Amino acid sequence: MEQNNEKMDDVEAQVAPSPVSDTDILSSPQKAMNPFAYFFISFGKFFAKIGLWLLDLILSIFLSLWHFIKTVGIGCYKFVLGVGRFFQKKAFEFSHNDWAGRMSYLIWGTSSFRNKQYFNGVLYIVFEVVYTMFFALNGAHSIYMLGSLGVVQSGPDPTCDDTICPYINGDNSIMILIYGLLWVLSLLLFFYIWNRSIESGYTNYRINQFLKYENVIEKTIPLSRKLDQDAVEAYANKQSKREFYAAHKDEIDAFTNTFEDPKAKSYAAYLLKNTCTVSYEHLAKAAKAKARLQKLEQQKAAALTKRDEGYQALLAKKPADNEEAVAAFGEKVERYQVKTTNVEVNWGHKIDKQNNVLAEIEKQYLCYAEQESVKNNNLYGRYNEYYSHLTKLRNKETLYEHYEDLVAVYQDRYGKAKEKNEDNAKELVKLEQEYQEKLKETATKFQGMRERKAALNQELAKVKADSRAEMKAIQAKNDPDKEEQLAKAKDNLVDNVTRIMRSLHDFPDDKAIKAMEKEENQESRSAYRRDKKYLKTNYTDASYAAEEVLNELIVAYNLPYAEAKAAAHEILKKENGKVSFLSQEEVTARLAEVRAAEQDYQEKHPEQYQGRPKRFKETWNTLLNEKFYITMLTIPVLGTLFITVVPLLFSILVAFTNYSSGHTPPTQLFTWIGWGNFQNLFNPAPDSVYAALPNALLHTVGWTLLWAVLATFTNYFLGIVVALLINKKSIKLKKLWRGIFVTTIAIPQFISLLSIGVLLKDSGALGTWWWQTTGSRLGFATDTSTTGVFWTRFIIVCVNVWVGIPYTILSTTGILLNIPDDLYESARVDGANAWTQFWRITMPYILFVTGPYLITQFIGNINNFNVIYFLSGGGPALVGSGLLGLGQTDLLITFLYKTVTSNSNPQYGIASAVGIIVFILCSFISIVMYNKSGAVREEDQFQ
Amino acid sequence: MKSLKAGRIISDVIIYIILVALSLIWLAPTVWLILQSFGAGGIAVRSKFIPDSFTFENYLWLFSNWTGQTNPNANVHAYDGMFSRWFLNTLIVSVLTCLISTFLVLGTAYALSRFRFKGRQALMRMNLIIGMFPGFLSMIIMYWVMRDIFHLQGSYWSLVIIYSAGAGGGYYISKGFFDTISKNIDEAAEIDGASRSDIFWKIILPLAKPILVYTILTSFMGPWGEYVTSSYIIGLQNPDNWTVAIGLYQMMSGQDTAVTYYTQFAAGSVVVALPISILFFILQRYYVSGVTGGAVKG
Repeated sequence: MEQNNEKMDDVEAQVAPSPVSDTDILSSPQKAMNPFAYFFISFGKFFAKIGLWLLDLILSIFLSLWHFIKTVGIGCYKFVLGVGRFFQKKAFEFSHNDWAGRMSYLIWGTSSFRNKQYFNGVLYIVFEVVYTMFFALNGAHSIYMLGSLGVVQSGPDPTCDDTICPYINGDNSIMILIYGLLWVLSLLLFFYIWNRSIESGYTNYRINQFLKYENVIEKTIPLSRKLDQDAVEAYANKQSKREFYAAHKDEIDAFTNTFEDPKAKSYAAYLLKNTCTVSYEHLAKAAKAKARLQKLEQQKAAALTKRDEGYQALLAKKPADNEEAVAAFGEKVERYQVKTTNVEVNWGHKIDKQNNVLAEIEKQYLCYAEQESVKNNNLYGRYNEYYSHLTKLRNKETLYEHYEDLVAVYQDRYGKAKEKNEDNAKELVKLEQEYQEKLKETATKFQGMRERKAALNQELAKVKADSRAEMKAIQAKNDPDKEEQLAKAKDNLVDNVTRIMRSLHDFPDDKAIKAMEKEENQESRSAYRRDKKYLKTNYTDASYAAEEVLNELIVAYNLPYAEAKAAAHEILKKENGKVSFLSQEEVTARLAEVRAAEQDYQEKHPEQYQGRPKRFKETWNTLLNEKFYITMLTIPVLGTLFITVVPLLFSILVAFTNYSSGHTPPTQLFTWIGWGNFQNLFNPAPDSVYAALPNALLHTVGWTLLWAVLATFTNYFLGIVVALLINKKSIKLKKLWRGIFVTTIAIPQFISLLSIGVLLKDSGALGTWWWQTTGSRLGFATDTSTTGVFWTRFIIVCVNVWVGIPYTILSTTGILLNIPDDLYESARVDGANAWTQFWRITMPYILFVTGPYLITQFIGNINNFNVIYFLSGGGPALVGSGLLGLGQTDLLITFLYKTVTSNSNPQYGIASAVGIIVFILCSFISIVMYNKSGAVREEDQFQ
Repeated sequence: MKSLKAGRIISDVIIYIILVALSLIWLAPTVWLILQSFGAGGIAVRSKFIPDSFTFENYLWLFSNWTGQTNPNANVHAYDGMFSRWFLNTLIVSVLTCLISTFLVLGTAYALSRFRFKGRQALMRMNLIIGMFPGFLSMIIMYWVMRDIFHLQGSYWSLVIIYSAGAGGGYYISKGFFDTISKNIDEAAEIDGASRSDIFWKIILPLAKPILVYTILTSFMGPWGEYVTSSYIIGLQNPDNWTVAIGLYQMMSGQDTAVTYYTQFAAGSVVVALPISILFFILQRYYVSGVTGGAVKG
């Protein structure tokens, strides 16, 4: 919620007319301007804005390209680096492992068996065996076949000499491609599980060797710290990472040689080497953050200097003693101050943020050996069975040692349940009261907020009314300096209004206040309920005393809740509903028993760190709790993988084959042809059947882009206009109007579009009417003349408006209602007319909020299959498009559909190539646009 | 002051006139289609705004004499008695898809809204980029997969699988909604010992009723009027397996059938549009909240 508010503030900050710029309008009074001039000027401004915007767009396209190349480059570099590190790590893990762990590189699950995790082990080994078997039987062949995409053609057996030959079911190139792809993908799965098995082997080993490793780490920590300190100096002297390591090599070697065990030695060497790397990386990170901080401070200083200089420059212009001019000047200075008040605060805010970043970097830092120790404990220490067993025994020991005290507690409390019940009842009343008070407090708090807001609004209205009256009076007086007086009154009004508005802007809008209130109430309610649970009023004597013993165990002896509960049960054995206690001797005997067990266990396990990773069942149980997201995401991710990703890869592959008419499985084969399809698209041989393709494609791309722009913007702007009309305050029956428009959403598109298509046919009702009134044919989607094409396109855009406007109306209505009224108020005070209000307040506000929606709409329109296909079917025909039968209104997407589904001449290869082009186009456009619209970058702020 | 008031009244009147005109334009095609569906006299009706005579036959045709198999003879009357079968097919596909994909969408949205895990951002970004790939190119491969791997060629079960498997990607709007539900509620429940799955089923879902209804509505409406995928996957060979979209489109695209079945097509369209429109208007307020939320959250 908070972040939401922040966002809203941002919006307001952007949208709110800044006090100074508004005065530009005021200083040149409205009435002095010729309305035509005003119209042309605002029109000119509008086009200038669009020009700037286009320039900005082109620039950002180049920037995005550069960014893209950079990202890909860095990604490749990091990938190679990551693969290298991965194998390095595997090699390290192999050398620091026992026989079972090493075996599990080859025979999966060995170490699981060694740790008596039979189920896990069986799963690993079964997977390995089954996969290898199937891979040998089928997978290897499938992948091998990818090279040729099939060799045996279906049809009569070519080797036989008879007149009637047996029919051979040949290879199917498509299935070869699909199976090959799936097998290649399955190799990834294979390597993933292989890695899991190795990891689990290593984990097992580390759990068992926990203490040894921990010893090495502890011994290494001092040197690691020292290296860290040295690194600071070396970094300051611009020594490189390698030089630093080389300089300390002797020291490190000397230290590692103190270990006798070769494994311990190499581990220590590993720790120290990594210390050098990690501390350098950390230093670089901190240096970067510091540099940014310095830059920010410089920027702040520059901004402040600029402000002060501007102030001085303004003061220097102070006019001579003309009284009115001085007064006007004073106001100007004041406005300048108002405008610049936030400079210092804003920069300060940024610097604070950066300071926090820096502090975070420095606070987190531990020397590498310490980091490793924490990791060691987290990853392997918690599985230790030895300690958990011992702790249980020790807890029991504690219990019997303090048995008498606990019994005393029990007996002391027994019989006091009634009092406790009464106490709790009182507490409950108190809690209830507190809760109610809290609610009241919240209510008053927010009521106060609302009242203050209302008061401000009232004041605003009053100020306006007053000054209106004043202006009217001035108008009526007919003084010689009427104009000046009027201007002055107006200025006065602006100042007052700005002052009140500034206070008003500190308040969140009504909806946000309501939400905040609700949230606060919810919080106090959950706190209330939680506390209430612990205030029982129905204790019996026994249950109360037992509860107290339990508390004592938890509070005084630090037992975990579950164990304390079990222990309390053990003390207070109930027999026939009566509680009995152990005698002194029994307690002593049990204590001795437990101590003996403890000693016995310790003797039997000289190697203390016995443990195991999570059992299969334990892992399974986390799937409903902390790993619930895996449960929820598995099916959608797999679904998307098989429905979208695999087909995507498939299409990319098909683009490099000659899958087309004459090469259509299952009866025919197709094969790899390299970049042939792309060549046919862009530069075909002049006498080939593809000769017309480049022109047709260019034509289609041009129309697709034109269509996308037209469709998106007509829908968007007209939708907003209609929404504004409906939402005008004085308009009644809002729901009815909205309902009428929404009918187009409710009816499935293929029905409405098909029927409009019929309506527009020459024999349809509209076509007939047109024929009867004008005497010429409407020729929708059939007239191939230039005017015919124009009208077809025009009608399609109109019908798209018919289909699309309701979505815009629905999605912008809420936003329109949320625009703070005071924005309009202030604009009205400034004398802005409806046109200016629309461009300066409504549009920026809506654009900011619905930016991402607009991008989605644009992409959606590039791929808008329904409207074109059902309405015009792509017609009128594009003359000279050759074998493809393209139409003048075909979009890339319908072009694709036609090439794929054509019965006479399917061109899958070319369709896939076009698909890749569409994909690149769409993702590029949206990346550019997303980068331009700020709302997306703040995605994380929403959460 | 008086002139101001007069101006306001004039502008209101103009707005009312515009709205009435727009409403007429918006309703006209629908009204025309309904009138056509009652029209008597076959194909000739379509050149008239209002048919000369009215009949109820077209509707009777829709739900009459389904014998349980394709009409074997007659090219021109190939679709007699098929409509009820198509309607049933579409209903099965839509209801099943709706149930499965609602679950998947809400589950995905919850997981992405409430959990922070490695690869979450990458997953979301991937989904965004994959969404830009022209969807039906994947149909080629899905056709072969359904045919040769699952052996479901021409069956509407393959549609259910395809529609619902890809549904998880449309989580944006629901995730936006879940993001606005305070996390304190989760935490309070967790203190009380609820597991994350309990929180989803017992706490978040009841709170997310508007988005639940919205998801159900949209995931029902999607398959109900879908043509491209269904026509390609089911194929045109066996009319028994068609959905209403394929059927109605085929009625209009064949040279002969377009003449024979014109008024029946209109009636069929009305019957197909009717339940979904009624559903839509009943649940409209949920739809609006969903669309608005989605637009704001992106």
